[in-house]
Amino acid sequence: MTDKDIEMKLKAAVERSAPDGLSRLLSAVDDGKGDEKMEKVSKKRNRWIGAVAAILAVALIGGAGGFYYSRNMAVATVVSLDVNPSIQLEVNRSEKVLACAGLNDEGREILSSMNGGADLEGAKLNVAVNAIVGAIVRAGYLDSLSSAILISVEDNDAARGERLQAQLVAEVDGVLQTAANSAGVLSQYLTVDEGLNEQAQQSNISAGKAALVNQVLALNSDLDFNELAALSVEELRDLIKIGAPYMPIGRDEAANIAEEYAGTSVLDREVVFDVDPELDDPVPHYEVEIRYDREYDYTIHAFTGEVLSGQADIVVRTPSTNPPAPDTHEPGITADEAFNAAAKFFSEKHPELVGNFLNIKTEYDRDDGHYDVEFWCQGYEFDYDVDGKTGDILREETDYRYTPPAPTEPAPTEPAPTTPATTPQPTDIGADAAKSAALKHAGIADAASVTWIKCQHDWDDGRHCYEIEFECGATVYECDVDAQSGTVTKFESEPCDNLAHHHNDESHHDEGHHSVTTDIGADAAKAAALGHAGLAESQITRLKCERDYDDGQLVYEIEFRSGGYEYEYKISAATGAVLEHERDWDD
Amino acid sequence: MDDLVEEPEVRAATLERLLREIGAGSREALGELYTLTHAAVYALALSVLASAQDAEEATHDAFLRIWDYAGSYKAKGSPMAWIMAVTRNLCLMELRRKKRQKALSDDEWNAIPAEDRGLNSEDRALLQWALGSLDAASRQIVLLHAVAGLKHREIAKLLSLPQNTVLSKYSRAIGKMRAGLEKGE
Repeated sequence: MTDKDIEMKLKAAVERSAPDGLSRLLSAVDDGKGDEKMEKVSKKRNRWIGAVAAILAVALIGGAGGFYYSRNMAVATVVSLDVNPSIQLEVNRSEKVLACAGLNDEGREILSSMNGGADLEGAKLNVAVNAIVGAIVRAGYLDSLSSAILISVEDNDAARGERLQAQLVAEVDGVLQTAANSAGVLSQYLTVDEGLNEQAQQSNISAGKAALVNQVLALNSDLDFNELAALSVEELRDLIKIGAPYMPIGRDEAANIAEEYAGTSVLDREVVFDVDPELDDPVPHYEVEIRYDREYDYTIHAFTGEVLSGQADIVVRTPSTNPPAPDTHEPGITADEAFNAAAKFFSEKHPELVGNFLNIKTEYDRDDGHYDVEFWCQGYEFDYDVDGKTGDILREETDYRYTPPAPTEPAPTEPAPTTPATTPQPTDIGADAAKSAALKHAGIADAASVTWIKCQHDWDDGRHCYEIEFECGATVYECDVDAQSGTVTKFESEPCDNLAHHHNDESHHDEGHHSVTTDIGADAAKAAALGHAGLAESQITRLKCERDYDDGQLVYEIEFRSGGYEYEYKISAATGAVLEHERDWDD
Repeated sequence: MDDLVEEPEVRAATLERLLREIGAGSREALGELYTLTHAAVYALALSVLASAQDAEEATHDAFLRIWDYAGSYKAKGSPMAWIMAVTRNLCLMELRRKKRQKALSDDEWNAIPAEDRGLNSEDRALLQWALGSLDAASRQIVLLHAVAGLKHREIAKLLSLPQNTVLSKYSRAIGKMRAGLEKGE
């Protein structure tokens, strides 16, 4: 039986089993169930298309018309979304958005690509919330596992308010799941309270966040409303958990303290990559990640500002590896001009993608003298380097999943074969940059101590990559580095002894010479894997843990799933070291 | 159904014309589109929702959505992929609404409609046993390719999966189904 036979049989079976609901459909259409058509006035608007799925975007476009809603302009519900960006939506009884605005600078920045929120007016509430949360995720506000988003629904009709609250939690959960994001979702229902609204307005936060601040104040009335209002939802949530004993120093202050300690505050470039509050930890603290010549982590006490851990004076210690770059590249064009240049280039090169896109980032890179412009269009990400003086496009990086149409090619009945290209693509970072990325991932600063075994251009899962193998000390490393982004997509390390004679022969097993005498046990191995993945046991599913010999070494092979990813680890039973790890989409 | 056997370009042109006419309010075009594509819509809904009854409802809702929004479809040569995206998103929203995703196990796969529509024993074997033994992603990939006629490239885009993953899952799934069918023969 050929594949085609099976396909045909399956197709015939499904066609026979598919119900014929045409008459029901047509009568539903006749009954006006498809009356959303009325909304499709031909008013041209600057439409927004984000990474939300097609139907949601379509629903939004369909909802952009004006006359249909004039019959109901009364605000029935106020919904606010708070992370650090605070965004408020006013909604009518038909759950359509009447107004949408950012309440703080971060909120306004999120909405800037949606015409300040005007593009969402007329959209269904769930569609608008989906769009906003998608943009918040892409802006990186919900990257850390402990981060949280607060959804507040303010409505005097309790039944409707609570129903909307449940709907929105499900909607936001869906967006976060789709983005493989594990941030927490908090929600609350509030009745309209003028006093609360006034308090919120004065501090440029939503009534929902003001309610959360009041919960903290109820625990400790010595704290200041405005200072608390500046904290993120995650910090407020954690403060409530621990009884709000003191006012935390805040993320900015934690970053400043870490920078002072690291000695990077003298640099004229941004090196603080992330600040993650952990106020509900037994020792409440902020984790500050600094990226200089490599990654440095600092732990700063959340209430005292004391540096609990981290390496001091990194600039003094490693002056030659990455000296502060002289600022010789002042931009000659503005960020808007750079964005417009990228947008023009994109529109001309990809007419098939229409002109609707969501700007994620326009950032000036002083070291290289160019703007980095990123945007989403129809679910794909496009990155451009734009010359800071001339506005010329220096580099285009298209989403690896995006396949541009090829009108000159005969239409294949099967997908285009993913044969390896013989030459690197124009956006290729090059072998040297790939090697640097591999070393950085391995935490090796001294390239001179490395012996290169292999650096080969290859093709993996439809993407160009470099397969890199090198030796440093007593360890052999194998990495795959994405040839366009420089991201390390696969990383393995193994002691040289196990590989000395057969690093190219993966099938070789030396079952007779098991050298390991100690065994940390399955629980410790699992803990090592989870620790490396930054996940708690409660966040993972389908955990598998097998004890096995690998090239004569006793190892634990651990697999689990979390947040849409499948994780695989090989942990040394002797030392608990992570020998191999891989993260892939959970198929 | 014969029209679905047409060359892909001809079929795409037909579907785009129908979507245009539906956008302009043509009931007849909706009927024609339904006849041509409802089996594929149903198959996808079935693969996501794993229940004949829910898939039937989702198919009805998907065509109502298509009726509502056909006018905003931008002709890009892949109307079937658009119809499938509409259907899949609707089904995923339904899943979230019911919060069933986690509770659903393979045992609950119920592809056979309550009402017997003249399925023969082989149809039943294919639908119930063969598809029931596949994981959700493989089920979607097989049905999107075999019934909806999407190319693997289009499936990869729709499901946000690497193309190679789609190809390998597809060939594993077909192999599994072949083994099962041949064993049953």
